[in-house]
Amino acid sequence: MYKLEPFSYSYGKSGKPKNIFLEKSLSFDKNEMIAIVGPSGGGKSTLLKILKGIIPEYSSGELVGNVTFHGKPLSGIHFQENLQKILYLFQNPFSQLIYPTPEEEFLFSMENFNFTHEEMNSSKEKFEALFNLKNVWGKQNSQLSNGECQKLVLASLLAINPEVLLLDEPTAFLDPKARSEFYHFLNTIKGDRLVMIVDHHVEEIKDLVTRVIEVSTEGKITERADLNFIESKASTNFNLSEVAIPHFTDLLLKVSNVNFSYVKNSNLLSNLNAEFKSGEIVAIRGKNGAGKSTFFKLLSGITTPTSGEVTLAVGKKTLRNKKIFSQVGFIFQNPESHFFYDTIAEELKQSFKHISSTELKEELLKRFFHEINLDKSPFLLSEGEKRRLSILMTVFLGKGLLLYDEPTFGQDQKSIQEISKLMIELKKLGLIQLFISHDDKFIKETADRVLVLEAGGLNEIS
Amino acid sequence: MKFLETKKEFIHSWYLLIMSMFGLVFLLASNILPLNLLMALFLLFLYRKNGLTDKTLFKLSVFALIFSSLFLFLNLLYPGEKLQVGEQVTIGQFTFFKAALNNGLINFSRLFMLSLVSMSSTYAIIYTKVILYLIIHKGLKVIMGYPLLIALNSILLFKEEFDRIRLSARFRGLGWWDRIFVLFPLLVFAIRHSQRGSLSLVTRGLNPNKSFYFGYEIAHTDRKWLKKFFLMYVCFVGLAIVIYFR
Repeated sequence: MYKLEPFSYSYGKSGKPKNIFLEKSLSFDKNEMIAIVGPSGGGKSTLLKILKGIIPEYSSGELVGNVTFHGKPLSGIHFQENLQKILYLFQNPFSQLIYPTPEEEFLFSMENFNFTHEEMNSSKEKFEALFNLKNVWGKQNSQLSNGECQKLVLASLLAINPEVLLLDEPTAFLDPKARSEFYHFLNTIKGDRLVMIVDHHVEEIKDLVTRVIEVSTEGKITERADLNFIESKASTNFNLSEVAIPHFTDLLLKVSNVNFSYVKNSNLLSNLNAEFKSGEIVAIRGKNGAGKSTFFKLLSGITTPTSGEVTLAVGKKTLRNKKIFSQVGFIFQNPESHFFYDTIAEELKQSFKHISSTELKEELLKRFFHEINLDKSPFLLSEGEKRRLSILMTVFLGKGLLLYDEPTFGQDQKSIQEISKLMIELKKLGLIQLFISHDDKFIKETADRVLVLEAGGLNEIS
Repeated sequence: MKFLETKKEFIHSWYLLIMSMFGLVFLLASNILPLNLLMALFLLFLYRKNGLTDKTLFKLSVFALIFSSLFLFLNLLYPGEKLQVGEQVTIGQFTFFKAALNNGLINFSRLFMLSLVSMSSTYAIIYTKVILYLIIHKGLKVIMGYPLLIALNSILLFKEEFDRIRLSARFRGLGWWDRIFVLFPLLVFAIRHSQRGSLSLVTRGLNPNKSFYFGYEIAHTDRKWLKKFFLMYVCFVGLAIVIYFR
């Protein structure tokens, strides 16, 4: 199917271009499920783009070497031939949306390849059941949660029955049940297909994958025997004693009888009650579309409850609903929403001014980024690096309540561990930290408690 | 609404767009207020039938009122030389030339109707349907139509991203000077979205020979409404010309 002769691809600024390269030939065939692993920012997504033919067809970089599919190059006149054969799922599902409604979006890929009405109807039945899409029909695409959007785009792409599936973090926003069903689905279809997957849920895909390709920090592409080499060593703790932000001892975040609805007479969240104390890390879980992000908006004072109240006691002062805003550090799902300045250094300035120790600053940068040029635009970082930068920009602002929306999206194992270590260390400053995640391992390592949002209610699980 | 069922419209969005365009030209050109009022009411009736809610209509009326009131004040404060003659009227502490006041009120009414109709049309016309109709039935090239579709549908995404960026600035406690630059991240988002969107069109296989699940056909009743509209339109234009030259 695929034949990769030694090649190199360089892109980025001429001063210090980024490279990915292959030194030993590789070939991939059907009936294989290949995991592409490596540190975030290494070039995994770039490799997938080369395999789809987007590079060099729609890229300004330079590809030297041969990559062929069924004996023909992927670019030029052959690019169109392979459109239906090779499926490519982008990392950010929202960037693939074209229509305003999920129904039309789902049909779009099949329409492009002239499927009949009967075929479209039967695909709808199949993927509606597989991805539980009943909940998304009738909504607007802009109202979908990340997980729902990811399921929709995946369903639309899989419906065209491709020979090759190039999947860039397909399960990043899926809840564990949806993830497990998706992996099971991949396992059943891989027989006559080639599946190449970038996925950081290493434990869950371990038994599924037949081969492993690593893209290293330097961009070197090599084949590995299995996924065991990823098992990262336990990293050391951070020493945050030289961080000059307030140490909280008596914070209390209280959610009392909170109800919330976007649409009249239809509560998304009903009768929520919870308490969070200084120094606690709490994980919030729930199915896609359960209202987790909305819950965070209520806690941060971005929106106010339809009834009930959210209060944050800071010493003798009690802040209610919208007043809580001033005490919140919010890490959004889309890290680009955080960036305002031309360089990473400028973005970090506000947060890092509270850190007197140069060693600590250097250690944070070294452990959060494999290699970083502070004069670079934050928009040029990889998705995983952007997320880590947004965390560093937010946690040292001296806010008592930190809300992380999917902090581990796009992160490799090492980075997940560093984020976890930092969050655990921040407990010592007395902050209340809440995070939304579908990553079981991360939750287990980091959270003191786990709350689940289901059927509009909030329940604690052990 | 069930899956694979298009949203029912009173009038097809493409015809409603045509009627709106002709209606807006009339409202812009005519200064015969009773005719303008009838035209505006007719269009608003169609918009209501096509899904414009009372709440939205009220909200848009307030916006239109504010906008046209500002224009009225400008007319009263800076009237043309020809209007600064004759009788004067006093309202509260202010004195105006009667000619300027009358002229201002006519402009206010015209502008109110024009802005209300134009804003309401954006809520009643489904632009996706218009573009897809033009692609399927009128030969609009997919390479033109689909990027337009992405651009129109990204407006809501831009709004959400704009809100997130503003919130992010507030969470970080950035000063007013830095908050001005909120437009730059939005610009970056817009550029990246258009880049990813176009790549998505390519990778998902957009081609000129594609098929469509929905036909977006024009119904017989739509044609009837369009005929009625043009009949009314011709009458209105004729009447307006007669009144103007009388």
